[in-house]
Amino acid sequence: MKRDRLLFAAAIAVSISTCVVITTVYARNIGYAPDEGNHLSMVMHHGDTVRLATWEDMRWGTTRGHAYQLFSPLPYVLHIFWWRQVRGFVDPEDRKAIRILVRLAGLPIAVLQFWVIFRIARFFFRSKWGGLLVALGVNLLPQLRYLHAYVNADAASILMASVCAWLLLRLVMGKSPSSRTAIFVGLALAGLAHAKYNVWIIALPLFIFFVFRTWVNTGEWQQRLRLIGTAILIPALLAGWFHLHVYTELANGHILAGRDHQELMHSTFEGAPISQGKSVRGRIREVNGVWTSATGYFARIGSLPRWYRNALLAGTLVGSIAVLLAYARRRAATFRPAVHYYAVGLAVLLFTYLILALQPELGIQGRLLLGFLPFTPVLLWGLDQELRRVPQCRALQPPLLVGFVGFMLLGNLLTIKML
Amino acid sequence: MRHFRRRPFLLWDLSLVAGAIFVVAYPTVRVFKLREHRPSVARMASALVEQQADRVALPHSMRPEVPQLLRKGITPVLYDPTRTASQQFVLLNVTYRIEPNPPSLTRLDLKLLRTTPISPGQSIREEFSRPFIYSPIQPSFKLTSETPLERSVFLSGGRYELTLEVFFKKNKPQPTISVLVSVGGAPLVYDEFDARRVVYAPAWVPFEVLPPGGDATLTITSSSTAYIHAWEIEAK
Repeated sequence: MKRDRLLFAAAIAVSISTCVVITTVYARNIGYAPDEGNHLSMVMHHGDTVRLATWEDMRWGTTRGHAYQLFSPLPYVLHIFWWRQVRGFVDPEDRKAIRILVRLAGLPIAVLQFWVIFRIARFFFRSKWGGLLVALGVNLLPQLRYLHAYVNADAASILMASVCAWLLLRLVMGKSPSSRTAIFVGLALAGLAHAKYNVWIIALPLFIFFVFRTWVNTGEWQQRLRLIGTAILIPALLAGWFHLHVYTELANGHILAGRDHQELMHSTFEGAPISQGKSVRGRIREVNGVWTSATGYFARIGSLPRWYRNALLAGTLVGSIAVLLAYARRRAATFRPAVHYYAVGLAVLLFTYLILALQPELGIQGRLLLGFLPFTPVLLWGLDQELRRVPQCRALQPPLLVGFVGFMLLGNLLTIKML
Repeated sequence: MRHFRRRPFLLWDLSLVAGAIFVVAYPTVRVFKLREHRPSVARMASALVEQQADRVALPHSMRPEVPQLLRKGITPVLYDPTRTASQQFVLLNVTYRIEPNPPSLTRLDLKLLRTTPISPGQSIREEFSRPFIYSPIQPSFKLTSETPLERSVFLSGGRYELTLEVFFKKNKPQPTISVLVSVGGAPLVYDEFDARRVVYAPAWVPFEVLPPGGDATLTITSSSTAYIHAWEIEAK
């Protein structure tokens, strides 16, 4: 028993170390990543002052064409803390050295992300070894290693979304809401309110489901109000001040995050007269809304061949149906309310996941992971359950899991070779 | 103590009520404060429409009124009462100014302001791609070897700093930028530097004008195509 525990601890340590080593190699070897200059400007700004950034602070450099002052400092908090400790040891003119040094602050995020995914996977697979293999496979996704290896707000946003998804799953699985749950939900929503808006897609179902469960499970009015009020008030107090700042920035006719900056960006970097078509295309991709952003990001993969997209779509449908069947048969009464939400999330996830896993080069497509990554273990669990139903497939389970991990590891090794 | 034992959640509930009051009251006060000048600016905007004015100088502290003025068809030109020199209004051809504390409308005599010296600490600035900070956004000024940028300003005796935000387009040769400031037709300062792809900090040219000063000409040229976001002259 003790030997098994030690073996498992060693396996966890090796898995986390593998992720950390790959992330470090990426951080050292990748060149200038998408918008990294803007993210670095945020880190530098908050390295000097705790005041929220304004347009004046983001006036020069690559930030000029963007609206990064509308981002919360919270997703950068580890980078900011790290930068404050090490900035005395690096030449302020050596931008490459600064970039690589600041990138290392993403390693704790990578470790935490591993841990959250592991907890979700273990929860579903009811086996620590199964959970570990799934967590390792998911965390070895080359695009995720890339996101953790450069300075950005997406990595922390995915982590916050994962924590929210974890809470949501606990609520779905029948854990009755208590005062503690209300505080956790409030803190998770507050964290998400500081994250990039793409992941807010998780916040709404979490809040709605929490209210629903509290209402149904709690008979007393006062207790209902207390729990729901706590879950609302914590994010209002912890994140409201930031959104008031964003409102102030937007209310005075500044350049908006998603409305005007495309023109300014072209003016800044191209200097040429602005093409209406280019501007419109830019707006579709960068608009400041959850749904339009999510669909807009998919527009970036519009260049894929039609047959490829159709194959992905078919795979998504089959995978989603398999998962839904698995849910419905296992615990129909508790799962059914959540199944519809998962169907949407998982369909998008599988579609996204396959594209990302097959992306030959690292790039901005990694953002597609936002919000959907936490549901990967659920998806795999659903497929696992379906395969288990067929006796002939049982023997395939271990090689499939090992193959999944091996495929991701190979992807990283090939990417490192290309860097 | 007995009270808390009977109602263990009393403190929790009181905190919730206090927090809810704060969460509602604080943003309400803040938003009302942002909009405190709204009625008076609305009156001034109507007066400007009657006068057929299409631009007005607006203090930075009254920025929240920008959308209101834009809706009325008036372009606000933001200024900082402590830093913006009067010649700025001549440069941007603004004939009306809204004064802060209390808000009031003043008509500007551009002929008089044309020869008003720039006091130490004040500056004049022209921003091409974002002339008024908010929309409309325009392309930056295109600088070639044939089309230099020329501007006339009035400089009295004193020390000045010229800053220039200039860049070049990707996959194009790096241009060399030449800056010439002449006072009364005589060259005063000449400087050359290489433009960068992205402006990380403005280029900087200090110079001194001997009293009594006079009409100065700023001429900026480039060896190949470059673009200017903005230029600024600050009196020291």
